[in-house]
Amino acid sequence: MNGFRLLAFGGIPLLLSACAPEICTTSDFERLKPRSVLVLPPENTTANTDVLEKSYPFLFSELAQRGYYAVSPELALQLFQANKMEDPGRLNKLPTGKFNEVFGVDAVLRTKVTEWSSKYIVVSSTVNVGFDMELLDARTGTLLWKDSKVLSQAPNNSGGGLVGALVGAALNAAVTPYEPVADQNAKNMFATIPQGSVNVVTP
Amino acid sequence: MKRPFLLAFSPLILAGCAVTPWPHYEAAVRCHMDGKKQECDQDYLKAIEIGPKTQGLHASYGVHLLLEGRRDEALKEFAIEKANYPGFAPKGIDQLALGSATGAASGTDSASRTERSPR
Repeated sequence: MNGFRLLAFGGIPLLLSACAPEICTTSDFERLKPRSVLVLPPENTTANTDVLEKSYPFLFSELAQRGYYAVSPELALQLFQANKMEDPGRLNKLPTGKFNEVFGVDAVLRTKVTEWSSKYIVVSSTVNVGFDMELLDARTGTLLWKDSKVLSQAPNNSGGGLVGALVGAALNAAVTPYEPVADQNAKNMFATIPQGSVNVVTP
Repeated sequence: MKRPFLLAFSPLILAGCAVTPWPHYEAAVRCHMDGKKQECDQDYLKAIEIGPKTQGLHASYGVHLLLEGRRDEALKEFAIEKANYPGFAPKGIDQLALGSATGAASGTDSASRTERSPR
């Protein structure tokens, strides 16, 4: 019994740490320790037109849930619109100091959506969502973290034999829900940033 | 053995079942970006009900109210955000509160606020 307890309570943290994603921030991240972040509207480099509306809310939400004070998208978009700076491509090219001035944030997150597609091959379909992200110090523009990932997931095509699989794959390709895949990809990427200390929810 | 085991793991089990405001908050942001106006209120309010101190939430709702021409309510939401997150609530809130960044702040409805060219 004692051996079992030892394994159960001593081994679990080891098992959990084995699953933990690798933290891949730069040494400047530790030095500057950002706490508030402006998530810029994602720049769309794909052919899909509604990527901004679909991806911006959960990019913001996932980073906030990681323990950083993220500026709300409504506020950011309204101020960008007021300053006639709505194009994410142009925003990504602005010096970060400008955002520090307007929003008073510690860091800026730039995102490029590099992949937003579904592939349909005979009896299976796959959803692919890719992001390039970089977190920069808002005052100096110093790179704090950078990651690039494409997540591919196959919706469940099972059931109904070959005909069912064919129909299922075709339907999945037609009405693909990209958001869960994109959300998961963002979550996986943010898991490589150290957990922040801002209290995200205290109901 | 059963009781200590349950006691040790109950926080993890409960955490897995916890209701968070984030799904409603995300839905509200999406709704706002779609320009649906009043339809978004229920998601904002539900998120506030579940997590009244969720970071950014009162600022978000404040912007939404401001663009609906509900200035007084908006200012209250901004004040709550600042009180909940002193030192974090972004400077931009003041710009909006002063009405220098939105036509809606002075009472006009900017229906085209979320219309962006497709990219």
